[in-house]
Amino acid sequence: MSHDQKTAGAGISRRSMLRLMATATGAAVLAACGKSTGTATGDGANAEPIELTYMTPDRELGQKVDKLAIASFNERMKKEGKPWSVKGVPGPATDNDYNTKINVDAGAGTLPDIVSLGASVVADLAAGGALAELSDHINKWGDYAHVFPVLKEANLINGKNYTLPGSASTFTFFYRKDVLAKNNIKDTQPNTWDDFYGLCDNIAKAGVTAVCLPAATAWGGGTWEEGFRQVWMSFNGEIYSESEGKWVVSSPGLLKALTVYQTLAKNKWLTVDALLNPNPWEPTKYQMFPKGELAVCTGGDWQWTFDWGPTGATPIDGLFEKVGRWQFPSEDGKPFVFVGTGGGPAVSAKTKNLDAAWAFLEHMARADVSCEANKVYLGGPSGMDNFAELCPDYKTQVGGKMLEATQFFATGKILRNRVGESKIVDGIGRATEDVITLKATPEEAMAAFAAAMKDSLGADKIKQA
Amino acid sequence: MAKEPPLISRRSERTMLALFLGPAVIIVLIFTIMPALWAIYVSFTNRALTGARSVTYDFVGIANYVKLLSNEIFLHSISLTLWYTLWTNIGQFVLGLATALFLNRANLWGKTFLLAAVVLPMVIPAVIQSLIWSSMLAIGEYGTLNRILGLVGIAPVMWLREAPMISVTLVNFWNNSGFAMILFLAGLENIPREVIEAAQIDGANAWQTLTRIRLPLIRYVIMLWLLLNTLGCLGVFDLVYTLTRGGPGNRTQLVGIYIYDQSFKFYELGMGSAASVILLFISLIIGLIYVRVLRVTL
Repeated sequence: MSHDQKTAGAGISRRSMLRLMATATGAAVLAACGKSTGTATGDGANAEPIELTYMTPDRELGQKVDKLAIASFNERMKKEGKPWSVKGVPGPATDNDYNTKINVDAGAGTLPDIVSLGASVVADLAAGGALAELSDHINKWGDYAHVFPVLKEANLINGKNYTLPGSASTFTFFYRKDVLAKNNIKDTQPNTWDDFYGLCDNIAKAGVTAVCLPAATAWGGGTWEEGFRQVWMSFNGEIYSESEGKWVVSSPGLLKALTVYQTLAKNKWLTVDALLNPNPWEPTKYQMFPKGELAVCTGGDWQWTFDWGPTGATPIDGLFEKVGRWQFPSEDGKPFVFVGTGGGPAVSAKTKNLDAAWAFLEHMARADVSCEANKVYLGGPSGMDNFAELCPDYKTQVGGKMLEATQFFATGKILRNRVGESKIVDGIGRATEDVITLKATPEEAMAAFAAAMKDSLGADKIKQA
Repeated sequence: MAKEPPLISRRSERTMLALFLGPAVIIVLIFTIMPALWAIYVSFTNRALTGARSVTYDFVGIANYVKLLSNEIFLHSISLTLWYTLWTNIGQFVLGLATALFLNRANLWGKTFLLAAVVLPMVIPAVIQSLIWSSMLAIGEYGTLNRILGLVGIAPVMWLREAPMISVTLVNFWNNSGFAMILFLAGLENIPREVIEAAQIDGANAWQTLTRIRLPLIRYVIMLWLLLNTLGCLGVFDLVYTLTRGGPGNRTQLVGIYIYDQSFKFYELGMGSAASVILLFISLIIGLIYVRVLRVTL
């Protein structure tokens, strides 16, 4: 039996088959177009339902909070007769992998409708057109008047908003009060770096590892966010030239900052070996510090709960009695707190519905929703100046540490998000790695950093002071 | 006598061929050829994954290649990759062959169990293997290996810090020697017993039987394994990334990690693509050498 006979025997001609396929394809295209139109304008009781996706790192406590917010939002929308709902899509747990996923998704045009972003990636994503501008929504937002001014300012990128300015974290040194007391070391605030070195020396002499200051590439963005930018700022130098729109890649302040790392490493006060491990926060924050084998470690407010709280990674019994905070020492003897902000939930430029996405962001920022979520996990101080009044529990939660942290919002130092920050972060990771392993002097590391940044950011985007 | 008509006409044969090959060709075109061509195109641009250059990027000619080939870190990662490939091949060859020879005995007790034990690592995903080894090689008292050494009074070693490349290479021996063993064992079991017996009757000892009879007779299998393993080693990523992420410093930054860092950590897709194209050429050259050796010498 020939091929032609087989076709005839099947009872359908080639022409009929082609006609059928063309009809089916046409119908599919029409159906797809119809669906697209429906979702884009869907608002109201009879509109087609829109399910938005919301991505946050897949960390247990954070996911629990997200689930609460999503459930209450979906319930509220149902009651209000709106066709909007949100579905959680957890992303990778670690910062490095999470940022990579976000950037890959953004590049592929598949970013979830709503994403939680770290401060260092916002400006680049906005410049790449991956994020929806939220300025109009934010300006009309009733609670915007209650957002601390410093957060409003830090959230602006070229005068525009891309994230909801509702949260922040204060960064300081955390130290083991009990370990210092046991070794008769006074825990007075170190005002200068020399004061700090003196403390480190005393701690080391007592047989305890002195300090973990995130450094090197393995810690990813933490090297910058939890350590280096604060150390750099302590020398009162410029990091980004606002007037010229350039990153400073070589300056006396940067050199002094790198020298701090060299001093700590040379004197064996720094946890160099642990910092070079693939997950350096594990031996340091999750093992040595809770055991009292490490006396000082940098970080933000989340450490009270996420790292060492009763439901955290490695709980410390009697946390508030055993752990205290020091502000960052500075060259001029005026210690300071760094206020980290600029990140937060953002909306994809390709979201199915911007109004629906904004409704979810606004919902998450509501005092009643936050208050409920805080019972599960409170990772940082609220960015609203009236939150303690609306949610009285907040005053006593986490030993009152979160409310306490907000007092620094007015006086703390900030650094605005700028395009190219992710490359600076990576460059600093390499520079600090070379310094703490004593492979390079601070001068050599700074020269290599400047060359690398010239290469990756472009000569017109850097400044050598 | 009249010639018997073929069972399938030539036209039907062509149709069948197209039907069978078509889906595979389409898949290869979409998922291999087109991305490769796209990567080659991107390698001549300054495209970034994020920021303004993710939208408006420029054609930069061979600038990325010039930068890479004059970049010490990239050249270092190539040399590390070649080192890793060489020692992995040597180690896995020795381990795989030794195991295959051991299991090739006709009346070996527990042969099936031993075979399963050797092959077992192959069914564990590479990332899981790496995490297991990450725990084994962890620093101080947290590492299983250090605890074992501690039992005999040996001080803890920071494996992934003090000997990262050796550690990574040794882990790969364990992971993938089973593959070499399977291929070698298949080859050895195809050698007729009479050939070995004849050699033994002629007075050949075990070493001579191995080097002059067994190995030459399984040379095609060895070459096939060598080709596959070399290509796998040149492009290795998951094992090293999970164990060391290329560190400490850039001491285990193989080309696969370098490409990942450039593309997805520094978001420089142009540079990452150029590094990928260079790796592709290195793989092609080595592959061609192997194929040439396979055809001509053997």
